[in-house]
Parts: sequence; C-alpha cells; structure tokens
Amino acid sequence: MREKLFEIKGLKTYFNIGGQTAKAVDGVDFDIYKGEILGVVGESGSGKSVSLLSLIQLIPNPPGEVTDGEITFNGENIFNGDELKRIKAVPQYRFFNKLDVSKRTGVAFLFMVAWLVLHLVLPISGFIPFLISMLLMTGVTWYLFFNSPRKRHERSFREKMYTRMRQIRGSEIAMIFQEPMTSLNPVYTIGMQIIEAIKPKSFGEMVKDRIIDLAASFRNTRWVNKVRASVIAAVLFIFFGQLGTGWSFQFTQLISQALWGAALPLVLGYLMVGLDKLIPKEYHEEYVDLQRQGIKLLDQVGIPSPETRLKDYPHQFSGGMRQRVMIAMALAKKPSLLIADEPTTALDVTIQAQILELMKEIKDQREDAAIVLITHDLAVIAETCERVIVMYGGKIQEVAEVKELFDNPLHPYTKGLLGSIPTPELQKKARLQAIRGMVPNILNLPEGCKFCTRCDVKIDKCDSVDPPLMEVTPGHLVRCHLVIDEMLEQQNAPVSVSE
Amino acid sequence: MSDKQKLVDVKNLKVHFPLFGGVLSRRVATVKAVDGISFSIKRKETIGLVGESGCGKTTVGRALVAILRQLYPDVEIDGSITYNFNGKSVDFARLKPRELRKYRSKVQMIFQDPFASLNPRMTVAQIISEPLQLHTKMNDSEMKDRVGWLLDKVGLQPEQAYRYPHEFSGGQRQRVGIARALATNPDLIICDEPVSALDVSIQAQVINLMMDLQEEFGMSYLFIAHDLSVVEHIADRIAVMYLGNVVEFGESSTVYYDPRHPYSKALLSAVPRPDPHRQRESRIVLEGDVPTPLNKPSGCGFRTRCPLAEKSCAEEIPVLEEHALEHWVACPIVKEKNAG
Amino acid sequence: MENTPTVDQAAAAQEQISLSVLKKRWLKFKSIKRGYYAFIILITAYIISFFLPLLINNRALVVKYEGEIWFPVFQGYIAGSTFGEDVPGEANYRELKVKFKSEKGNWVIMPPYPYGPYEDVTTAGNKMYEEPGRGHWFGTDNTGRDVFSRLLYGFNISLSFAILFTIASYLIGVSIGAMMGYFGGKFDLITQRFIEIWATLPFLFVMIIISSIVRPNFFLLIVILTLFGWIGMTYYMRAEFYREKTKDYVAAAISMGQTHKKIIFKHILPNSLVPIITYFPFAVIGGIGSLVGLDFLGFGLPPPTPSWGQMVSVGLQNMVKWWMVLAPLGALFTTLLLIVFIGEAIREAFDPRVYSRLR
Repeated sequence: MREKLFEIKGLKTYFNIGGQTAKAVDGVDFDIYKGEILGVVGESGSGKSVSLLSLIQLIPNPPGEVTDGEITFNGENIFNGDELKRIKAVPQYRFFNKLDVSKRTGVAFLFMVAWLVLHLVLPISGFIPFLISMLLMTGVTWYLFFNSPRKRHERSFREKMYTRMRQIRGSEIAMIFQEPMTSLNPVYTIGMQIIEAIKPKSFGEMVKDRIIDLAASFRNTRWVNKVRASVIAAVLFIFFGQLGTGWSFQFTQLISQALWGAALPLVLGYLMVGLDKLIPKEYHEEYVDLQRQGIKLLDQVGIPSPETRLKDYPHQFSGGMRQRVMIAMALAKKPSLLIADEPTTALDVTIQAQILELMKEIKDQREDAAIVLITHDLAVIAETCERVIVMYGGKIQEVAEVKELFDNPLHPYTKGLLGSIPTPELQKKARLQAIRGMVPNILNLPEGCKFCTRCDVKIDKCDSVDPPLMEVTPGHLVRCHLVIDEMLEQQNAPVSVSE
Repeated sequence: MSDKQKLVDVKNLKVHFPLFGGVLSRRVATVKAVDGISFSIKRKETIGLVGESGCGKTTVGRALVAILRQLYPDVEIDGSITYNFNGKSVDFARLKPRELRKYRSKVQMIFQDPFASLNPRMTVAQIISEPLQLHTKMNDSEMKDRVGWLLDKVGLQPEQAYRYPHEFSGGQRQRVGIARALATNPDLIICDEPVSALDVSIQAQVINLMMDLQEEFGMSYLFIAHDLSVVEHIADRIAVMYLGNVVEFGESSTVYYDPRHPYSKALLSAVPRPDPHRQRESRIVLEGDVPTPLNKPSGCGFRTRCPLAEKSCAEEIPVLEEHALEHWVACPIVKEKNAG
Repeated sequence: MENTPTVDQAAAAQEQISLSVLKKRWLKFKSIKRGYYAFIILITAYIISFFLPLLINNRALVVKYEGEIWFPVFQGYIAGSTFGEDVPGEANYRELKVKFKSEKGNWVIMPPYPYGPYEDVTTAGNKMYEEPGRGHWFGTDNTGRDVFSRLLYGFNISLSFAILFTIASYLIGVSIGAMMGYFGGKFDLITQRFIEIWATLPFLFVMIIISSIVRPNFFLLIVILTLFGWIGMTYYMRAEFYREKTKDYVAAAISMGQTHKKIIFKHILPNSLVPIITYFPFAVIGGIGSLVGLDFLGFGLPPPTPSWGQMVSVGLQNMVKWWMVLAPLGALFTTLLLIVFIGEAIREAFDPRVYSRLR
C-alpha cells in the first residue's frame, strides 16, 4: 500500500445563502496517496471544487464554512471537526441565550434606556459622573448581552488552523486554476512572478532586486545610447527650465540647464551601479541562482527560449503558454500536492493535449508528489488519471482505479455519465444513454440518495435512506443501495462500512 | 450529388474584418476570419464544422444566417451563399437586409451560451413567439397553442411558458433556444456549439433531442463544435477548419477514422477519449499555438506547426482536392505521398 | 460553470412564482430599509408639496362676506375694498379674520399656516428680520418674507426642476448614446467628436451671456441645462449598448429579421436600464445643486420666485440672522441626504452580490 499524503474524513462544507443552508460538501471521505494522479469528476454543483478548496481551507468565510470533518496531512492532524463541535456546543452568549438576535438588540436598548432613566431619577449631578455612568452602561450592556466567549474560542481555533494551513499551502500545496490570466499579475514580468513563487521576497529585497536589474541593464547599455539619453534629457531640461524662467534664453542659464540635463541619466545610472556595489556578494549570487532556477522551471514546462521570455509580461503569452507559466509557478515550491482545477477547460484541444502531457511528465519526474485533477470531462480523466472519485450532490458516489471504473462502473450515475459520451462503438446517430432530468438545486437536495431524482433503477428506500459508501472490491467504493444489497446477498460476511 | 438535393451551396466565401486605428481611424489591418471556403449542405443532412478557437467556424455560421453585416457594419463579405428554397435560389451574401427578411424564417440559429442567448427581460412565451409574430399571421390564441406545442416538442412543460429565463437551468434554456429556432419550421438550423456550455449528462439529452427533431421535421443542421466525438456521432459529413480555411472535408466516419491532412490527424489524436486502455504513444502533440488570423503565415496556414512542412508550402494556398471518393483534402504533400 | 451556488439559485429557490428581474430588484430595494423609508418620505413630501397653496398661503381658503362666499385661493387677486378694507391693493386675510371675529355672519377660513411666500414688508403687519417664533416658524428675511413658506415652495420648485431636467437630459443622452453604441462605425465616430467639442463649451459663461440677454424662466433654464447635461449619459449608454450588442440574444433577434427599432427598444434597452436607474437619483442631486448654484450667483430663476439658492445668498449677506442661513442649508442638506439614501439603496438593489453593508 502506498503512503497516504492526505486523509480526509467526513468533510462537510456548508454555505449560508440568504438564510438557507447549501450543503455544498456533505460528508466526504477520501485519501490522497503519494505519487498518484487522482481525478475528481462531477458536474457543476457537485461539490468537486469546493471539497478540494475546503481541504486546503480556502473557502471564503462567510458565506461558506467547513463545519465538520477531519483532515490529516502526512500524519499530522490539521483540522478536527470534533474540536469545532465542542466549541460550538457551548451556548453562544454568556447570558440570556434564549433571546434571538433581533429581540436581543431590543432588550439591550430597553436596558440602556432604563439605566439612563435610573441615572436621571437618582440624584446624581455633574457631567463627569454622567460620563462615567454612560461608559459603565455601555460596558455592562455589552457584557450582559453581546459578550460571547464561544466566538472568541472559535476565532482562535480557526486562526490557529489557518496559520498552520498557510504554512503548508506555502510549501507543500500548489494550485492551478481554469483561467490563467486572472491568476497572473499583469503588471509584473513573468520572471519576477516566478522568482516570487520560488522565494517570497520582502519589500527591501524587492528594491535590491530592482537595483541589481537596473545596474545590470545600465552596464549593458552601449555608450552611444547613453549619450543619446543624455542629449534627450538635456533638451528636455532646457525646454522645461526655459518654460519656468519665462523663455529668458540667458546663455549661462542655458549652459547650466544643459549640463544638469546631460548629467542626470549618467548620475542615476552610476548611482545604481554604486548601490549595486553596496549589496553583498552573497545576495547577488542568490539572485542569479534564483533567476537560473526560474529559467530552469520555464524550460521544464516547455516554454521555448526561457531566458528572454523571463522578461515578458503575461499578456505577451498565449493561453496555453500562460497555463504553462502557472504550472511552472506551482512547481516552484516543489509541492507534494498539486491541485489542478479544470486546467484545460479554457484551452483548445491541441493545447489541452500539450498540458495534459506536461502534467504526466511532471508526475514521472517527481515521484512522491500527488496531483489532483478536478474536471467535468471523463475523457480527460481516462487519459491522465490513475484513480477516480465521482462526485454528485456534495457526496462521493464512486471511487475506483481508472481502468476498473471505465470497465466496470457500478453506480448508476457513473454508468449514465459514461453513456452520455458518444463512443466509436456506438452506432452512428443512435440515441445516447442520457441521464434524465436535471441536476437538483443545491439548496433542495433529496433526502435519501442524492441521485434518486434521476435514477432509472431506484428502489423504494433510495428516496429516504442515503446509502453508505461501501468497498465492493478492494479499492472500488460505491454509494448505491442496489450494489450493496446485491453484494450482501452474495456474501453474508461482515463488510467494512465507512460513513 | 444533384443540385436539387442541395439546400445551400457556399462558394469561395471570404469574410474579412478590417481593423481601424489611429486618430483618423484608418484601416491598419485585416482579420481574415474566413478566407475562401466552399462546401454544400444537402437536405436533411448534418454537417459538422470543427476546429480550434479562432479558426473562423463561428463566423461561417453567422455568415450563413446573414447577421454579420448588421453586427459588424464594416465587415467585407465575398463569395456566394446560395440557398435553394423550394426551387427558388437566393444568394444570402448579396441580398439587401429588406429582401433578406422574407427568408430569415428558413434559416435559424442555436447559440453556445444559453445564458446570453435568451433576453433576460422576456418570458419564455415572448421569446418563442417573437419569430412567429415576425413571420406568420397567427392570432394570439394560435400563437399560444403553437408555443405550448413547441415547448412540448423540446421536452418542457407548457405551463413553464410564462417564466423568465433566469428560472431555468442551462439545459432547459438551451431547450428554449431550440424551440425558438424551431418555431418557423426552418430548413436549416445553425448550431453554434450548442452543448459545450452544458453539463455532461445534459449534453446527451440535448443531442438526443436534436437528433429526434431532425428525424421528425427533416431540417438540416450545420453543427459547429470543437468536441470531435460529439460531431462524429451526429454529423453525416465533417469539415475541418484551420485559420479560416477548410483543410479536410468528407464523410464523418472517413474523416474521423482515416484523416489525411496533418492537422486533422493531430487534432483527432489530441482529442481525449474515454478509454483508459488506449495506446497513448501514437498521439501527435502539436508544437506551439494557433497563429492569429491577423498575421497568417503565407501559403498554407498550418505550415508553421506542420510536421510535413516543406518549402513549397509557403508559396501558395493549397486547395481542396478529392483524394478519395467524397473525401477532399487541402494538402498537396499528402497527395504526393499517397501517390508515391 | 460555477460550483458555488449563485444568488440566482438561492433566489429561485425562494421564489416559486415567476418574477421579472425588475420586480425582484424592487423587492430587494424594499428590503433595504433606510433607502426605502427615505423614498417613502421624499415621495410623500413631494406629492404634498403640490397642494402647498392649500396648506401654506396668505390667501384665505374660504371667505364669507355679506352673504357671499369667496374662494381667494382659487380666484387669485381680490382687492381689499371688496371686503370693506380701506387699504389699497390685495385684501389682507389675516387682518380680515381678526376683524370678522366681531362681525356676525362674516367669517374667514385661513390655511393652516397663514403666510405666503411672496408677501413682503409692504403687506401690513410684516416685519423684516423677525426671529423664529410662534407666528413665523423660521422667521422672516431681509424683505419681511416668511422663510418657512419660501422653503417649502422652494422644495417643490427645486425637486420638480431637478426631475424634469434629469428626464430631459436622459431622454436625449439615452437615445443618442444608444444609437452610438448600436450603429457604431462612422455615426459613432462623428457623434463622439461632436460631443468632445460640445463638452468643452464653458457652461457658466454661456449661462451668463444668455441670462444677460433674456431673463431666464423655469423652462428656459431646464432647456439650457439639458443642452449641457445630456452628455454624461451617452457615455454609459454607448458602453452599455456596445456590450449588450455582442450578446447572443441580439444576434438571435437579428437572425429572425427583427427591425433595428425593435432591437434597440425591445431587446437592448430593457437590459441597459441599470445605469439609467442607478444614476437617476444622483443626477437629481446634480440638478438641485446646479439650480441652487445658479440662483446663488443670480443667474437662475427670477426673483421673487422662492428658491433655495437665492435664500442662501441672502442669508450669507446677513450672517448674524442665523435662521436665514441655517433654514435653507438645512433643507438642502436633508433633501440631498434623503436622495443619497435612495440612490444608495437602488445601487445596492441592482448589485448582484448577496452580502451588503447596508441592511
């Protein structure tokens, strides 16, 4: 058995939408092994992206919240839903927990009015006592009605988890998104962004880098161009200087303006060179080394002439090239997990083939790294992945090795998905085996099996009882009453049930 | 193929978009979106048009419904698009908008994005009855009956007619779009990537629906898509486009299983198949990106990425030649090789 | 395809009945309390302000004199001699009321607030610079006119002016912007250059020149302001039409053979209402502001029209009389604040995001 990188148990992510709860991810268990390409397939709203985002705690809160579950990374427990539950079991406020939010403000207001009246009725005079009384009133009201130790605990719990998760995300996990243009900053060169990804820099270090770049470019400028720059600057200085002095055209003035102008570019250039000399040698070497690493990364993802392209801006790259840059940046940290969320959906078929090929190459190069590929396209899964998770309605419906899944699909939903794709074996213009109906609203999922509204082979209990995810053959897990019943009939032996 | 069977005959169609720039808005460049293509569509036939983004396939579809001039007033259209409606032949590339209006009902279009193709301020009934108001003299109750009948045909409930598009899912909206296209009994429906924005399980439903409707009403489809497996399934003949030119045209199974043009070969091998046992070594991975139609390479547009490219490719644009029966390929080198 | 549930899905789950987009937005607007109540208050105040002559006036509602019934509010000028007063000019109904108290059979019914916006120190009993008190709620100004009544009459005039000006400039701006966006090409180019030239015309100088030739009145002012005010909307509408034109539903309408007119008005315009509606309140604020500014400088409505700008200007000349400054500025501030609340709520209602700071 291969080593587990991630272990996820009973992960739940709920979104609060206009007072209603959307169970985007509702109890998901899966493992990510080292060195595998795991495919997560599902339609829109199936929770495939959300579950991976919850795994690395990137769910915007509010509206979303990872409410339950357990996440273990390399044997270290990162998120424990039980602890969160224990915190949440404590009543929300210190006092009067039966009051709901709107009544609470009303009662607090009444309390303050009563205090004020009491203050006025009692013979306390003077402005300073009144001020003290008002401050006291604010404090007491807050303590009585709005003080919530639970909230504080919850915040510290999350803060601790987020901090740890940020560390792991910074060094161990990388993500690639569907639209590469929105993930790249258009005002920085690719080189700067890649170096930033390899080694995050402080502001001072960034200034140093700019000085090194500018000094290098000044040194590399030919003398002719330096003279040209001086002449242009001199002319500009004369023009604006004369503009300022009201076109006096005094000879001495003209000379001094010309000299100032001509000197300025050279002075700035030599200033940069001087500053460059002040920067320690080790830093220079480190910078050069980082650039070399950046070039190597770009080369690794197959970008032609990486030395020159390092100085280009994102808009100078095509869609496929940008996705390659994204992958290069993701690889910069040497992550142990690479999550690719629909990396090829926005790309053309021939470019998609290039990117998928590249991902497989990366997998071959880095043996203990895992890649999770989220997609809606079963064909992409078949081409690239080793193990597949099929998701529907916020739950995992089937898990299997890719060949097993395509040869022997057990869940009706998986069968339906496979039937929806035209294959060469199918007779031309024959009807496709489509799944009827439509994806249910995420706010209004059925009680029992999430697929029961569209399933053709459902039985009575599908409507009310959600089947457990059960291991049918080693490594092949299915969540379907029919399959489980059949299996139980065949072998009346105890089976492992994970729910 | 006799001319009577032909519904539309496209001959040497060119669609160029001039680009303007500078203070005086002078013409600075030309985007040759479609650069001289010819094909024909028979009655009750489905033609698949495949190619990557920017190859001009959508422009071909829009030229066939003759909406380019109104969308882009500066567009330059050359060549002919001759329709044959009940023995009367009409050239859509030359007709004036006023004369075109009579024939508009015969050619309809289904769009890619089901969220953008329906006016969000109109109810489904208003959307579907709009072409009926324009092209028929139905009264209100007839129109209502027709809308209900159409909704039933595309698998929606007639009660849903008074709802707004935002209350429907993507697949249902696409069904509304199909009902609108169907309303005037068209002879040809241009389907511009009708399923690529839909979920996989919904795609199959819509494809089934489209095949059923063709069976029942006998119209022709021009099916534009980038998903080759879908096109192979639904189309009778396939045209492969690259940078504004058709590089291969023929029976769909011929093109799919025996592609001749190097681009078609690469495209087909790049398409992922839902078959984990497939041999992957045979895949041809093309180098580089599609050049923009703004600065097309001289001669054959594909020569910059072509594994077979020779010096002669830069000289002239290859024309479609019949390599086998009903199988046209635009590559002289392949022909030489096959002959030799 | 988004994986996170969208607002639409949530709203669709809540609303089982079909609602058009505008109706939904109206419901959302109603749920933003501050803006909704500001809207209710402003609309009520504006409607009431049309009946001001019945509520705030120096002319009596009904007069019974010597067995005959008069309605001075509706009849207008009635000489004092008609009612047996020996002063020349219009009857002074407040004095008449005091006088008739002792006479049997004669009576006067005055409006609730018996001071008009036009009567000044020439009317008997009026004094200059009277402090706020029981009679004149906000005091009187330098010519003895009642500040409170002028304030309320000024409210109606300002708001009507601003709304009419906004509608007029929107009509022109929207139609020209729509045509620019829809037809594009040469028409767009030429109109854009024309707008650029037109926008450089110095508005204030033109205004000063015009008002030195003709005495501006209410409608002339609207026309002149509209001539300069329509430009802003064209930018938004042009951009909006350019964007909407590329949407597939327009292509669908063209492929059906729909006419340009129908496409512009039936298809694109209803989908481009967002800038029109969201900017409307702020344009009204701009309208009020420009009227006040012009009046302040003396190029606006001719005196003695009750206008806020003129009141502020007079108040600033008499800074010690605090009520003359505070009253018009306070009224201006309150009105503008209410409209800002409305505008804010409208913008929020048209914002597709779920979470908002308001509410």
